[in-house]
Amino acid sequence: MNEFIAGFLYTFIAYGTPLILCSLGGMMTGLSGRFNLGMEGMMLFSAFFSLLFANQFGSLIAGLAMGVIITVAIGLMMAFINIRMGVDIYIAGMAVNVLGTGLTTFLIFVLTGSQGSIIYPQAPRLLKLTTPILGNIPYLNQVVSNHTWLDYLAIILVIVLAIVIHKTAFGRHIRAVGKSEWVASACGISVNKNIYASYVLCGILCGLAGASLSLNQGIFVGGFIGMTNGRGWLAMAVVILAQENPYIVLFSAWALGALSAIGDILQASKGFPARVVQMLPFIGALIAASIYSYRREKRNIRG
Amino acid sequence: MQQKKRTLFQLLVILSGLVMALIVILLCSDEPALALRYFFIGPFSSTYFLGDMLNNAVPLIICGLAASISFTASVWNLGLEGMVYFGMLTGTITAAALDGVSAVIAIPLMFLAAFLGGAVLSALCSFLYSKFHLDIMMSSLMLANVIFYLVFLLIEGPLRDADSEQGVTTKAIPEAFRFGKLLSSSDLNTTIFIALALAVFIYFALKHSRLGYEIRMTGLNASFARYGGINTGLIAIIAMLISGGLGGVGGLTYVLGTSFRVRNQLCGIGWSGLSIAMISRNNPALVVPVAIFFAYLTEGAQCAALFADITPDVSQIIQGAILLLVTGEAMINFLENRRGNRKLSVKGVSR
Repeated sequence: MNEFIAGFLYTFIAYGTPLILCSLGGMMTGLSGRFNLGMEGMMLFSAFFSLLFANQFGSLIAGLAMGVIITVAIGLMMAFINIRMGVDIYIAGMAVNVLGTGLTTFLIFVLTGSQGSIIYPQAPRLLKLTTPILGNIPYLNQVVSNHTWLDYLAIILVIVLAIVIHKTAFGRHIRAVGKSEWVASACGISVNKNIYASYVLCGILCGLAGASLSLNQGIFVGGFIGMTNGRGWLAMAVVILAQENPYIVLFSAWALGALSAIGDILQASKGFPARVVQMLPFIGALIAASIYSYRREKRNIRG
Repeated sequence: MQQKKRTLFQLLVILSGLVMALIVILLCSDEPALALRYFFIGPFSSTYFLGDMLNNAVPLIICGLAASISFTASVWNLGLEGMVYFGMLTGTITAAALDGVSAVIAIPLMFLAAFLGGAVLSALCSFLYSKFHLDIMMSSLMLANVIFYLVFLLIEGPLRDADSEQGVTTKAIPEAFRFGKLLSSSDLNTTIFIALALAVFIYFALKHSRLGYEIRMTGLNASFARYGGINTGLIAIIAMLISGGLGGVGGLTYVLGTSFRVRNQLCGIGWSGLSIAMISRNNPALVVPVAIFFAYLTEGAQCAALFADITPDVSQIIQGAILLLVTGEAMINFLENRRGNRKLSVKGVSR
């Protein structure tokens, strides 16, 4: 039984990583007042390019760097066409999603001739780390040890971003821009710079999220329900729940990961239909977001 | 003048999309001349491809209208794909269940079922909005993702047609309820008249009816509309219901124009509908040409895939690029700013 619980805890930490990373990115753009709808497309881009380059150069760093560079470029472009050309940021996000599904399937065909997915068994995988101190404690080591280093990085980034958002001038400026661009610019805060910064951060985080999806297994699946599997949308729910608090991102992403893990276990042991399992995180997100919105509204009316 | 410039600019954007197609094809094709010829001229080269193109346009027109109604009321119904898919399913299984009933009764029922299928999801989103204050953009997206898997589950389980030879599908719509073909070689059928009639009707309804006025006012300035005595919450819900319902009908026409069965894969026309509405700036009169243009791109890519070495996904890349570029007046502002008079930006915020 202990084995079982440890396995379960291990799985949902692993499940949560991409969602944590991209929700953090979404939160940054949400804080600057221009939520990024294109995270699904960004993650597809990064998942594809990081796997491709990791395989091409046989180096994990090259793959990761390429994935992140691509998504940062996309983020900068979104911010640019939003700020300078006045395109609605939601339209830009939708366009990135369309491009993400189209361009990746197209490139897969051009490069490999196969339809929709690529598998590189020889591509370098993410290293699994054993934690030095925690790894020696019985039971706990089965849960916290042996994750990929991106899993640990995600948790560290949560803490780092919590400090950046709440304790530094940069974080305060981004939040000020999100609250009111007028007031922020009147106080001498550059609105544009902060929006660009939030999109660069979102690009980096979504890039890591995408890379953690494909570099884990050396597989990329494109299409409408591809590799990302709606994580970009789930991130929206997580951002609504978290508002300005990265720690809530961590726990809600883990909770949604736990839902998937429970579903997987039920599927394996009780023959639960796979489709219901795939549905679970979205239902959970819908319910959680409803409850949160309801409570916030009540608080607003009372206060 | 401004209007003229704007139209000019939209043409320019579409042209730049085509130029991008040219570049993509030149870059990745081994026989670019052949691929280009089939991509650009292919859809007009025979009645089959022409009919197929117009056939693709039918669900796109209806979904574009669906999206533009909700956008007009400033309701971000981004889960349209889910409504399309669900309406497709309810319409098809209703038709299959009504096998043997007179077509005069069954066809309206089939469309009603498709409309209700989409509208039920809209109603659920509206309910979550009015009771729990959950953003419609968020709830419709989440619900769409739930619906995909729900429909997959139903198609692979209880609703699966065991005798089907076309993979995992539902039962087919009976012969008697299928629409007459227009160009005998292609799948083009009379549903195109339904789509065009809907476009004309919605154009005039939005412009000249009371409900249309209220929808537009709610979208333009909700607080002004509220002071003017419009129940903006109700209007937003009505717009959402019409939008979801039309999405369902669009899904049904997709089934009627293809294999008469619902498959366990997504077709993407809901997403395309959103793009079409954004590009046509929620104007029902522009939805028709934009939808036909999208269908032209898809068909061109398919032609080129058939006769040369291009994948059909080229069309999606071009659609995404056009969506990014379509900015109309904002782009003009940008160019004018470039030309010298860099004023403070639109909202008076110095940036």
